[in-house]
Amino acid sequence: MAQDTHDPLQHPEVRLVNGRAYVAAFVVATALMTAALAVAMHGGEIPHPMLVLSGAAALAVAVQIMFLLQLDFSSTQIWTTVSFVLAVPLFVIAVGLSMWMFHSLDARTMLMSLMH
Amino acid sequence: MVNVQGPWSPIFGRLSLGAIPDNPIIAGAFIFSVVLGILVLAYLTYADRWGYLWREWLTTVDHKKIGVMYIIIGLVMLFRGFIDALMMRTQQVLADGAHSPGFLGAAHGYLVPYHFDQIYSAHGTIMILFAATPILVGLMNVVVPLQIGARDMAFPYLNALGLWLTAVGAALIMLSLFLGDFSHAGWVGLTPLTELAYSPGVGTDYWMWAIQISSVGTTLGAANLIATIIKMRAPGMTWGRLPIFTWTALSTNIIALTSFPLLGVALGLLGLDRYFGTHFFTAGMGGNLMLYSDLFWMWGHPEVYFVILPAFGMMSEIIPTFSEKPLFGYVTMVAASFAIAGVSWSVWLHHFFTMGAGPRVNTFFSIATMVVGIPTGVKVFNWAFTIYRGRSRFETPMMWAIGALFMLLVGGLTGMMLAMPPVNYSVHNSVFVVAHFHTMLMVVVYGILGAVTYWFPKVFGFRLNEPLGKRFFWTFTIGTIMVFIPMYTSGFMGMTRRLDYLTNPALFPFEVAEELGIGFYLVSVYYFVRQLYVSLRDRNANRVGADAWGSARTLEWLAPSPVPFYNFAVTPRVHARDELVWRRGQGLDGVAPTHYEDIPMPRNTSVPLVIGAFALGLGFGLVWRIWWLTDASFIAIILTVIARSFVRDTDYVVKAGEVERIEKNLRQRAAEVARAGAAAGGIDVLRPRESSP
Ligand code: HEM
Ligand SMILES: [Cu+2]
Repeated sequence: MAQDTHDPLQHPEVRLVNGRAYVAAFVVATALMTAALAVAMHGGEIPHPMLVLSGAAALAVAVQIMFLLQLDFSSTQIWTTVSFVLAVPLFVIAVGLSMWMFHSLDARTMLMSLMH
Repeated sequence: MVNVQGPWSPIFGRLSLGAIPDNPIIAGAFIFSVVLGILVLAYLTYADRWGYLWREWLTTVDHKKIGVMYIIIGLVMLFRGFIDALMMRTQQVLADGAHSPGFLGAAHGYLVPYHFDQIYSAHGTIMILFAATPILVGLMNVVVPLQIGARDMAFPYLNALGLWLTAVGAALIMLSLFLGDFSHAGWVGLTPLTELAYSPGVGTDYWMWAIQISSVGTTLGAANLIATIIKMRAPGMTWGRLPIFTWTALSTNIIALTSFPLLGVALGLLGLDRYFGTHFFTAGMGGNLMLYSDLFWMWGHPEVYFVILPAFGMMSEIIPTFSEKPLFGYVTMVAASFAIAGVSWSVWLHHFFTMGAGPRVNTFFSIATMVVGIPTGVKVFNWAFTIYRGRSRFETPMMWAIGALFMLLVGGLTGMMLAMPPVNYSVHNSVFVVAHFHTMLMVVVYGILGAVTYWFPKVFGFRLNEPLGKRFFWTFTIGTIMVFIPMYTSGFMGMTRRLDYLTNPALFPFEVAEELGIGFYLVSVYYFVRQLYVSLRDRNANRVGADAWGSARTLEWLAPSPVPFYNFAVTPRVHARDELVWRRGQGLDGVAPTHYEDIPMPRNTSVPLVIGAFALGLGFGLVWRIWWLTDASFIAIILTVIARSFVRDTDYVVKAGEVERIEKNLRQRAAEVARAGAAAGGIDVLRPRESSP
């Protein structure tokens, strides 16, 4: 509740604001996304496009965490960091199980090949 | 931007007079709504209540009032969804066999397929997302801060914003009835039927944006409730003492926070397909339509647990109160809630076993689904042991809670059947599945109705009428039995779901039974409305003190009924898991504080309502492709949010003297109530040492 009568600008969360880090995060993320888009559009010409794409995605996440969200183990950020870490298994479950259930689907159902 | 069929103009988008349906049933609904609307507006004007409405409700940030408004929206939508159900049942009983008659232009029954499809889509969407979800969010809003001894939610302004975004979603759905049409692709949005090629009208867009906008509200609400529970607990309210309903609220909102964004992504990608011509879920062109099912159920299954966990929490509050005994197995109850929440994340494929993912995948998800039965079973036994050798009193909340227990049994067991791929292959997409999840959702509805009856006196200061509540319960229960048992049977006989016409005349007797059942539901609605009316009329005879049931156990029953806007005059210090029982044991339950302090409170604000209004403009513009409206609304939302961030004067202080005066009045009134003997029942004082930790 808004019980706190201190100056909101003094809150440690607000103190974390850092214009340079934000710009850096934005620039790096945009660059990575552009690169990923290029890879996706010319996938045939690059070896292991999936690996490159996953690597770019992982890098983008790391940059966001460090520069934009500024997650660390300080007493203000620990809750957010822990929440993030707890979300990782969900991510693994969601993406991992989806890939597992879809990877042989075409062969079994000819769904995609029928629809081209 | 893709081109759409039909005329389009820059000013009105796709909107034209042709969008107004010319169907007698819709015309009837329209007249009903207009008359009701005029009556409400006339009353507000005549009784000079506009200022009151604005000050006390529309601009409020009080968690109790926001909760009540959530519940009112939910109940209105519940009624709308019920009318949809009534219409579907009536269609199916009429359109049975080749010789069945046709009315109103339909070959069989009275609804053409085009309308029937919209009705079941609206019914499902409304019941899950605009009836169950808002009522649950509303109840959590009302109860959680009181149970943990807080004055309000962590973010009262955000709370109001969530409410108004939900209201916008509901408004869009209601609007679709009178302007354009609604989706015909089921509440799940069957792909590729939702793609522009197969659904060129605005129906799918209504469905999509209504859900999209309201689920932003639900996500914000989830973050708010989690923050509230973690950060706002009164001194002494350790994790081990947290009331069980608050625990389930925490687990359920973790589900909401982690899963609703997925729904947003699924619908967002569908939106890209429909508006920009991408091919995420199209049949062909590199699209993968099963990817939509995957994303949808990755949210959808957690969502079904999102609705049932709070219901479990309600049962866990009601049963001990009316058994006059502490809840059996508190720790296992908490663990089970989180186990259910966790496992709910890895079972979603059971909604499309028949996709053909292969035996290993199906086996994995089959086992994962059955694993959910373990923590659920733990809960059932805990409730049973709580009732066992308790001093049970069968007042209406208890009736609903026990009814929910029976529903859980039937729904859970049929769920286990469906979790086996061989069984699933034979009954998938049959009405057996429909009966399964309705029995499950009945757990939620029974829990909600019990909880509304249970906590009503806390919010309004008087109890609901008991005899009418009992009639409501029994007619509702007979309705449930008569609709869903025949539905299970006809599902086994091979009746597929979503049929506007039944070819098999052997199903007719079951349809008749179900029609009778829905008749009982209709009667139960009458008793519910009558119960509300009579209770309101006789409220002075039914006033209650702080502990409305005489045997309540948790902290919220320490605050006066109705709860003053600041909740607790002095933030309570918590000593035990069942704080009220502990205080009663120590003879402290009626003690007044000796010393009052100033209370800082959040100020009312109209900003959430304004943002809601712009969001309605945004949604409407997107549905009808009126781009100037979408752009203007979107920019207006952003500007409003920015402007609000400059407002520094968001709190005010209630002076200690003022608090003391209010409390004195409340206590005096409570004493009068006690003399009148209103809060009868409850003899917990005789058992002072039962309060465990
Ligand atoms: C013991 C727990 C449960 C099990 C084992 C279970 C199992 C299943 C299975 C296997 C299906 C898929 C059937 C099919 O489409 O062929 C299903 C559908 C469904 N269940 Fe459950 N379920 C359980 C609990 C719940 C709960 C708690 C709810 C909601 C409160 C629920 C709501 C639904 C819904 C909404 C559907 C289908 C929706 C649709 O297809 O439109 N279930 N359930
Ligand atoms: Cu499920």
